Amino acid sequence: MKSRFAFLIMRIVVGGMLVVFFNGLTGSAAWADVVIIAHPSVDVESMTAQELKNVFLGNRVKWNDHLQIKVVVLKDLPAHEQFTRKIVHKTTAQFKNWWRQMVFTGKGLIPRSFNSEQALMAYVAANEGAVGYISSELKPVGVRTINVLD
Amino acid sequence: MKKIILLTILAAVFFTAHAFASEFGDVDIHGFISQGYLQTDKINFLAETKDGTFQFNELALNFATILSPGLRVGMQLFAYDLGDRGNDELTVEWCYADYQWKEWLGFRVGSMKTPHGLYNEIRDMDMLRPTIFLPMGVYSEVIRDELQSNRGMAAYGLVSLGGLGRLSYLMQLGQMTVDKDKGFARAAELLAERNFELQGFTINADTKDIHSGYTSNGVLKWYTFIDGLMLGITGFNNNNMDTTIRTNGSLNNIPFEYQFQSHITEWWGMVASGQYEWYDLVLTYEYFRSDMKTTTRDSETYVVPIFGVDGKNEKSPLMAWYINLSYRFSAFVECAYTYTEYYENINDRDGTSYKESGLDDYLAWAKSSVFSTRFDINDNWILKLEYTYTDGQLYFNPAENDKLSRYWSMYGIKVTYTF
Repeated sequence: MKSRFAFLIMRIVVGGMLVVFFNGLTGSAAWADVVIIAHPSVDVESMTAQELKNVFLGNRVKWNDHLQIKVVVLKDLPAHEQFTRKIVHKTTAQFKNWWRQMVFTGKGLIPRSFNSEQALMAYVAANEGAVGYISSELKPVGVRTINVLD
Repeated sequence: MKKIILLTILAAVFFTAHAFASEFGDVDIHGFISQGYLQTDKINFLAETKDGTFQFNELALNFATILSPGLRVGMQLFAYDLGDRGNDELTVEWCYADYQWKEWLGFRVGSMKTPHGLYNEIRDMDMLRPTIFLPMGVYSEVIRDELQSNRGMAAYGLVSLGGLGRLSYLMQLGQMTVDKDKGFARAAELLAERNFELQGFTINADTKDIHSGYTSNGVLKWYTFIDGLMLGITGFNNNNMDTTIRTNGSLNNIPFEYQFQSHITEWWGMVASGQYEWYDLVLTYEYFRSDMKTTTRDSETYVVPIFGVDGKNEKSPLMAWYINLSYRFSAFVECAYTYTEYYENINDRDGTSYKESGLDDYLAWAKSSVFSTRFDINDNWILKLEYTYTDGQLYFNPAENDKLSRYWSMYGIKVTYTF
C-alpha cells in the first residue's frame, strides 16, 4: 500500500515536471504569426524558410548581388520570440549570441533593433535593402511583404 | 606607465563610444570589458591563485563599416591579463576586409581570427557561452596568443546541400602571429627552466628569436538535415617554426651560457566537433588531436626537453576531448556541466614514462569536471560562477608551485559588460 502510494506520488511529480518542461519548449499558443517585410526596393516576392534564415543570420549579405541587405529586428517583444523560433530556429538568447559572435569576429554588423513594430516598419520603409518582420496583426504600410515558402 | 596610458585611452574611448554610438554614422562600434576572480585550493594555477587573484580580465573595442554592397571592413583592439600572460598589452586582435561575392563564395584579407574548434574565434568573448574557461586541453592556454589570429587571406562560403542541409567552409592561408615575449616562446622558456631544474641546474631562459612559417587552416561545418544538429571539423598545419632560446646559469658556481634552437618541422591539429541545439538545451562534443615534430639543435651538451620532446626528432601526439551540456532555464539563468580529458601522449595515458623517470604519473593527464552558472542581469551585464575539480596536472601552468597536487579545485567569478 505504502509503495503504491509512493509510486502514485512519483507519477504525479514526474508527470508535472514533463508538462512544465514541454510547455516551456513549445511556448504559448497565443503567439501571433509574423510577416516578413522589406523595403520596396527589394525585388523579392517570396523566399524559402532556409533562404530567410541565411538572410537573418548574416550568411547572405546582398539582394540579387546589387543591394546590401540591412537586417532589422525587434527587441524583446512576443513577435521577436516567435520569429527567432520559427524562422531562424533559435531561442532569443541564441539569436543574440549568434550576432554578437558575428560582430566580435568581424563577420557581420549587428542588426539594428527596435522597441516597437511601428518604429521597425518605419525604418524598413525608409531604408533601401532593409528587411524585418512584424506581427500579422499589424497592417504593413510603405513596405513590401515577402511570402515564406515551405 | 605606457600600458596604463594606453588602457586609460582605450577605456575612455570605450565608454565614450557607448554613450555616443549612434553618432558615429555608418561605423558600428561595439566592445566588452570583463573582470574575473580566481581562487584555487592546493596549487597556484595560471596565476597566484591560492591567495585569490584579480589578474584575470579582458577588454575589446571594435569598429566596422560597410563600404559597398558585400564589402565590409573592420578591426578590433584587444587586451587581456591572466597571471603573467597578456598583461593588458593592447593588440590588434583582427583587422580585415571581407567581400562576399556570392553566398557560396567570399574572400577576406588581413589579420583574421584563427578557426580552431567551435570556440577559438570567440574564446575571449565571455558573453557567448555559459562557462568561464574553455576546456584547456582543446583550447590551450600555451598557444592562446598564437591561435589568436593569422595574417593572410581566406575564402569562405555556405553551400546548400538540398535535403541534406547546408555546408559552410573556410580556407585560410597565412602566418601565425608569434612574438618572442608571448605564448609559445614564454612557455618554451619556462619549460626549459623547469627541465634544467630537474637536472640540478638553475638557469634563466630568454627567447632570442622566434619565426613562424606558413600556416593553413580549414573549417567544414555541416548543418545537417536534423534541425539543430551541426557536425564540424577544423584543422591547422604549421611548418618551420623556429625558436632560438638563450640560457644562462651556473654550475658549481661557474657561470655558463647555452643557446639552443627548437625547430618544428611539422605541427598539425584537428578538432572534430558536434553540437546539437534543442530549444534551450545545447549539447557539445569536441575531440582534439595534435602532433608536433620537433628537432632541438645543439643538443649535444644537454638534452633539452621542450613540450615533452626529448631533444631529438620526436613526436608529441596530444589528445583531448570534452562534452558539455548547457540548459537555459530562463532569460536570466543558464547552467552548464563540462567533463574533459586531456593527455600529453595518446600512447601513454597512464603516465608510465613519467613514473619511469621518477616523476608523478599524474603529470601525464588532466581530467576535469566543471560546473558553470551564468546570470544575464540585463542585455549588457552578465555574471558567471564556476567550480572546477581536476585530477591531474597536465594543463600548462606558468604559476610557481613548491608542491603539486594530483587533485585540486578552482573557483571562478567573472562579470562582463558588453555593448
